[in-house]
Amino acid sequence: MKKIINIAFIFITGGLLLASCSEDFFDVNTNPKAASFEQVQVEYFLNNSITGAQMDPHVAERQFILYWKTGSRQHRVNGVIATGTYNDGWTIDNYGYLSGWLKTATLAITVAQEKMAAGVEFPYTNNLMQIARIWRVYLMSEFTDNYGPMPIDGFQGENPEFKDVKTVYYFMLEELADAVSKIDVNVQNPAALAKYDKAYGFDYNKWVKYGNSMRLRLAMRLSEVDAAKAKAEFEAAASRPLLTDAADIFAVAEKPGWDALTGVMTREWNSQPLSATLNNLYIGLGGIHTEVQVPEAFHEKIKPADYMGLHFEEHYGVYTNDPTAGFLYDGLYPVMDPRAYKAFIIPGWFNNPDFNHYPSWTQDAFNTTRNLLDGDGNVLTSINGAGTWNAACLGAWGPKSARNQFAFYVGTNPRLAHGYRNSSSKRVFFGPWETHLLLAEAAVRGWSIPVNGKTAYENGIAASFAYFGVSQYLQDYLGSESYNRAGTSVKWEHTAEPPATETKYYINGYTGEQGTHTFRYPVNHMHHNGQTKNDLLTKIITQKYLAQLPWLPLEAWNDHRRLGLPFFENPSVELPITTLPTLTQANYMESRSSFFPQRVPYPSTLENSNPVGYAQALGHLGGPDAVLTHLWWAKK
Amino acid sequence: MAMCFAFTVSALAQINVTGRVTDTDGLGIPGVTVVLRGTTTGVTTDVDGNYSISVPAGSVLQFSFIGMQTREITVTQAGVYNVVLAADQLLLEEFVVTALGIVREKKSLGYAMQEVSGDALVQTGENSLANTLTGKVSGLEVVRSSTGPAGSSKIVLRGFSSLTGDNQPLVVVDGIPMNNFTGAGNEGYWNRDLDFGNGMSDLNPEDIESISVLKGASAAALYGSRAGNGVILITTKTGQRKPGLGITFSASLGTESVFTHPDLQNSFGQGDEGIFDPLSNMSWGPQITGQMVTDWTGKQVPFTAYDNVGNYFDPGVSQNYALSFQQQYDKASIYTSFTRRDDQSVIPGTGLARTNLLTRAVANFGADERWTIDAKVQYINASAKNRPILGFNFSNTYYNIYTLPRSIDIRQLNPPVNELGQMVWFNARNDINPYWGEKYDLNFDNRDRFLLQGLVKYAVTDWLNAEVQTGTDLFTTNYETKLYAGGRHNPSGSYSLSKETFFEHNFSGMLTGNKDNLIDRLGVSATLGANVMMQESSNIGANSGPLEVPNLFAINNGISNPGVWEGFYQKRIASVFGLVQFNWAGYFFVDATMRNDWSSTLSIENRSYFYPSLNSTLVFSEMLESMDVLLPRWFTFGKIRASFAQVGNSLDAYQLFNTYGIGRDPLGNTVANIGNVLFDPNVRSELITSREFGVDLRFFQNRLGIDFTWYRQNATNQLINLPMDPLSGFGARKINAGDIQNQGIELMLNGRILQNPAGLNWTAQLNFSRNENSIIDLYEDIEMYFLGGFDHLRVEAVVGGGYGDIYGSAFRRVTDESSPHFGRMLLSANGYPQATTEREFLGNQNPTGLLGFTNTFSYKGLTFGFAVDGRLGGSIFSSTQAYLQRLGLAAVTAPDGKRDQMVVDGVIANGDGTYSENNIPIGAQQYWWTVAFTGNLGINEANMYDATSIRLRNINLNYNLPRRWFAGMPIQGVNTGVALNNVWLIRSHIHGLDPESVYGTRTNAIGFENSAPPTSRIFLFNLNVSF
Repeated sequence: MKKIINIAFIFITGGLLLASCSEDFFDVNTNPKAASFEQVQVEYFLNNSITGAQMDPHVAERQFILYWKTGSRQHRVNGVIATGTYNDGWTIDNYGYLSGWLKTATLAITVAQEKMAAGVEFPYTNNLMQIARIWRVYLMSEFTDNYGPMPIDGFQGENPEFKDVKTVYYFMLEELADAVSKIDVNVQNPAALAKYDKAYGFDYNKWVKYGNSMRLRLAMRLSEVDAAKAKAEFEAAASRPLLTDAADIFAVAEKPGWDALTGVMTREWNSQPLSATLNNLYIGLGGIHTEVQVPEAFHEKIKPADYMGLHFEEHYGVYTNDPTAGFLYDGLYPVMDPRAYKAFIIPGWFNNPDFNHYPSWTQDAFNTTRNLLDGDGNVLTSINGAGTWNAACLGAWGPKSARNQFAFYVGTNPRLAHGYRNSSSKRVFFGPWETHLLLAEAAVRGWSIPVNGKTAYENGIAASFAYFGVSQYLQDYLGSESYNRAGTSVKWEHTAEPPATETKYYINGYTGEQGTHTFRYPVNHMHHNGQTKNDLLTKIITQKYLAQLPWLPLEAWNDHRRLGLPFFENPSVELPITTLPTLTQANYMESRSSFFPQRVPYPSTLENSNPVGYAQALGHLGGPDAVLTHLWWAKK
Repeated sequence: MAMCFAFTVSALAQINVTGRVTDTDGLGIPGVTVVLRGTTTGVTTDVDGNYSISVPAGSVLQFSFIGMQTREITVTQAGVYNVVLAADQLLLEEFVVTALGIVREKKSLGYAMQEVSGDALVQTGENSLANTLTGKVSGLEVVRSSTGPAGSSKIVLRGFSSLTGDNQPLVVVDGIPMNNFTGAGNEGYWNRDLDFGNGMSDLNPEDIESISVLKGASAAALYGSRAGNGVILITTKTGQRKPGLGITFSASLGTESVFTHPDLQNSFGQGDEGIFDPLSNMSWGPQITGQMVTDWTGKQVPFTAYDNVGNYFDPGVSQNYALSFQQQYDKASIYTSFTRRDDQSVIPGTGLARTNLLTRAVANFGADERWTIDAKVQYINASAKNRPILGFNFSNTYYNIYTLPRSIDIRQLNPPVNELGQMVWFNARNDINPYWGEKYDLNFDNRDRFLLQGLVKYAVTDWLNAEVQTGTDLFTTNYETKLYAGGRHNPSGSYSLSKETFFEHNFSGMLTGNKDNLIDRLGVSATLGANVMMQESSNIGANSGPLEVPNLFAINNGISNPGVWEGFYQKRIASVFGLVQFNWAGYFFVDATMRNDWSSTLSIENRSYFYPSLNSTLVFSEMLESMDVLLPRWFTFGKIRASFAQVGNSLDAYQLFNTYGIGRDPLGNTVANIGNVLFDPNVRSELITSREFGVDLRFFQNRLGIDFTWYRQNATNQLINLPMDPLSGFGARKINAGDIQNQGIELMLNGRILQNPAGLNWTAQLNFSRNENSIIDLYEDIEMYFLGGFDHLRVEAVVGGGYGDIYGSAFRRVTDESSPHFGRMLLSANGYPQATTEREFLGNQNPTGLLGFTNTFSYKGLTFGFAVDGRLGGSIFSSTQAYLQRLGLAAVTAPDGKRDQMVVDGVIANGDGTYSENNIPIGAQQYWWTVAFTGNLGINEANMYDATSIRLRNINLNYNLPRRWFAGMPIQGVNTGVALNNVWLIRSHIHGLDPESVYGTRTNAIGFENSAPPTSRIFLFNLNVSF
């Protein structure tokens, strides 16, 4: 029996159990790879946020290319948000990424607060916190301008309440004012700090200017719904230091590879062709002749001013108010905005260093000859797109699109310049042109600002021309009374409306016969109920839209939603577009905000992950969680 | 050795003994072992039951045969000795391996468990051990990933009970838990991680003596924390006494072919709106009428539909060679084996190779042989190349093959590289040419694994045993990916390298006391034990990013700084446990178990948790017999059983407090962040509570058996990551939540329908199970928990509903009940189907019943078997079908080879509450775009399918060559056979897709399918020779 007891003792109270009871045995639940509060610094979080927001190619393609550029018509993608649809998968990714950048921006603020509370701050900690607040406002504006209602006190470890867009805007404006006022520009930074700010290297004066210009941008957003607030905020910021010099530009260098700093427009399969919207604004604007802009080899392709092109009504969507619909332009327009040939390269201009040859695995960019087919698929005619300039309208063309191999092909269409696509540029978040053009708009609205409208307008154009390297045309351009296809001219004082119609000629593509075409400037019912096409506001927004290309498509989309400007042509409805139910073959000549995307629906996961917040968001939205639901500040 | 054997036999003074062994009916019994007692010298009877042996005069011969009583006769002189063997009525006394390796009489168990013999597993010819269990165990579902021969399979016992866990039972090999990781890390819709198979498939089925499946918590309670979903108890072979040398060589050769793939139309070629376009990725082109077209290469070719699936996939070849030795020498036995398996799958370039070495020795020694030692070393090397990439992803070869336009010949895409070194593809899209992918988008992984076990047991007295056991599961896996230059997504290529090591050590000690007739007829047995588990894992990896020098696969050859990651965790659990069993007269049993765990991963306050179990059995047939109640002759055996059990479970490491992480931006500057899950230091252990009741009845001298079980299992306090709005700062938070109930029945019928040792034998087993899953509670006011899905299509756990309810967009219908058109499709003004904006309930992913039917026929040396299994009910959403429809590839888009205009059956609203019959014709392309192209997955209802499938899982034919054919040769037996797997899909509803090709095995949303590789059929020839 004693033996039994001995053995029992060994087994039960023996080594195994002793080990089990020892605290050391269990003391293995601290992650050796994790950092403590003492080990992290404010700039690490801010760097994470600013770097992440440059967008790696995955999220850039979804957010920047497929939503922003497509929704703003700053390139042509025939579908997705431009025709009222969205993609939940992209949205889930975009929402998640953006939340992550907002989270690290917020962590920069809260960690700074905690460091200061603990008395372990550096002399620059407060400034970094203010910068993080300014930066967070920018990210919030990305969020609310995509989706609408959003929280203003998120990232507290519990599901946040969603606030209406007005509250969000008021909060952002207040944040900007307060954060800018609390930056001490006299603080000297240690040299090693600068690398944590890829935009300004923690140059406090530049952050102050950016903060004030951001305030102008956000204040102006309220112009149509809350004019008093817009005016007050705008006027308060306009007299402070603003982002007006090229040296102040908020831009972050791209680099090759596949990471957050890789270019946002680098995916080779996105061909990023010229859109009909851009084209209608470019053609004829500014009076600068194509002859002085393009090499002599292309001069023979320049067509007369009253030429419409080859008419192929069986191959192009025509149930649209695009004034160029139905025509294939077999040459170059005689007058073009000089930025057009810098931003988009003429098909066949292979020796232009900015000629984009993507996708590099095909010869598609170098193949300029494509066919139009008949109903049986036989070749009707073959067209060489070299030296031509086309941008077909969007829409559901039905069989016409299958018969037209020209209109959507890479090699036959002007596409975005290579320099924007190969990770060799800086991604611009705020350019000086925008400040000037915001000031110009404020002047038109009669707000009290320290500059007159004309000066601001011309400064804005000058800044854009400098950016595109076409300043040699500036003086002629500013004095031009030439109308573009939307009926707008450049010259500040020239507000005469274009004639209702102009007589032009065309060639019937099928028969070769020449015919007369009565050209009508499109009517934009969203602006002054279609009464004006060449007023000051239209001029300013036209210039702003062209200046924001290609880096600020979200702002271009914002302006269109806010003002209905510039003119966006309707997608052609040969077949019904189920996602734009109010656009029909009966009303396609009208221009209504219900024909254009107004927002991005929340990701489908939100309903599940934050049911209370989602319900609040829906309440504030005042409509279904859909692409066509207007945001608070939008033109209805 | 053979020479030696022959010499031994002939050297002694011998007498010749012959005779015939028959059963009580006088029929000869083949295969009876006739041995000289106390030796290994022996023969077996031939097909007629005849034997012949030379033995020394006065020897005792032992005649034994499974299912028969063993007889011994003394032979004094040469001559004829005929022997009659009687059936063994004591066969009821089956012994099975239960928890902690305790071998018990099956009749004494108070819970359901099922044992499968190693032979039955080998016969299936499946390459993955998990798959061999398909249809063999009631209540056990094998969820296959269809990611090729190295893909994972998930075992689910009695339904899904955990919201986020993998829902798999614990795998225990010879008393030591084995890591049975499964599936891919990320099973997202677009970009998925690779499926690295499941841990259990590292084992060689031929080394397995038996598998006990402990289904409920009761059976598993003693295994503690991780056994909440049951236990798969694997016992490897130990040396058995064998005639001859004990060496067995087996070889099998298999060929693999595509079993089933989606139905495609063959009448329309590449293009859009009826017009041919050689660059289009759609097949809405013109009808194929034998015309000539200019293809994407510029050549004039006849317009034809091609069998691209058939042309792309290769016949797969698998080879398996095993050499084993087993023998018993006095009180020591040894089993050792070497196995090499090579699988070249039907998927070109994909393969798996596995080498297994196992040695296990058991010896009894010391005074009165009171000491027992059992030691095992098992080494596994498993290497896989080119595991298939799934998901809606440019690298998904299967997606690209299925969606190739019908009139493009895939063989034209081979060779896949042009003169510039670029990938060849028929248009500018960023898809991957399957031929290119198999050569230039490569992944490799190689695992070295050891399973070690050592046990020492000492019989302190005749009623008290003590034992200590230690065991380890230890592995290192190396991973490598190489993307060559010339592709589209990353034209300069990339390289990654990583390594993961894992070990789990277990140390345990047990004391077991056992006394029968302690008081009157009461027997008591008690076990007291303790266990310490230590787990550690670490990994490190690096990715070059896009390469600078093309095709130089080195981490530092990136354009940017390489990305480097590392991970580490440690976890420890200490436990004490006890088991008390009472037995009254061998027919009434009561067992109680208790276990207390202390886990390193929970807070000090919550670290300790206790859970008990109680079960009881009454063998009423024996009770009645002992009370002299006469049972009818046809009633052989009957018992009832009931049990209650709880099992606790702890948390993963480092999940109590949030900490900061430090990393680098692309320029090498420091960044910091906080993890994506919000932790709560106050979380507690999980608890699974199970109740079970069962009856086991046998009739007609055991020829018919019925086993019925009812169970109810509630999983509560589950540790889950509850999704949060990312704007909270976290994607999820860790909480204790949920009450998930699984209630069901399991029914098993065993029949020995024909029993004729000399003639035809037929045994059949039918099992059926049905599980009902309900979500009693989730968390506070949360009504739904997202399990998986995409876009509108969501697989959810729903309070008041089920686990795996599928929600999505449905067809809009007339909802006005007073309308004569109530329930009909409500079409748009243009006559198009419309989707609901709200998500509707579309089905539940779980089968309503699982069926397995196994039959074995034997006639003399010939055995023939077949198995049918069925998965009845349940729904699945097929995104493959949606893609095939939108692209004009699916067979349904061209019924009878035509694409006429159609008028959708439905009504159009008049705007005043009335409806008119639709008469607006629309084109086939418009119709299918509407139902399959709205959003990402179309109108979801259109591609919901009944997931029922019934298939002839396998047939096998084996022949034991007559002994006399190699009489005089040192061969003990030769067995040869053929097996065919995935023989016939008797019933399925997904237009050619195999319902088994589900999306992933880590996700619990199995009601969702997306472009998986086709399943394969395997034909296997095997040869087994023993010496």
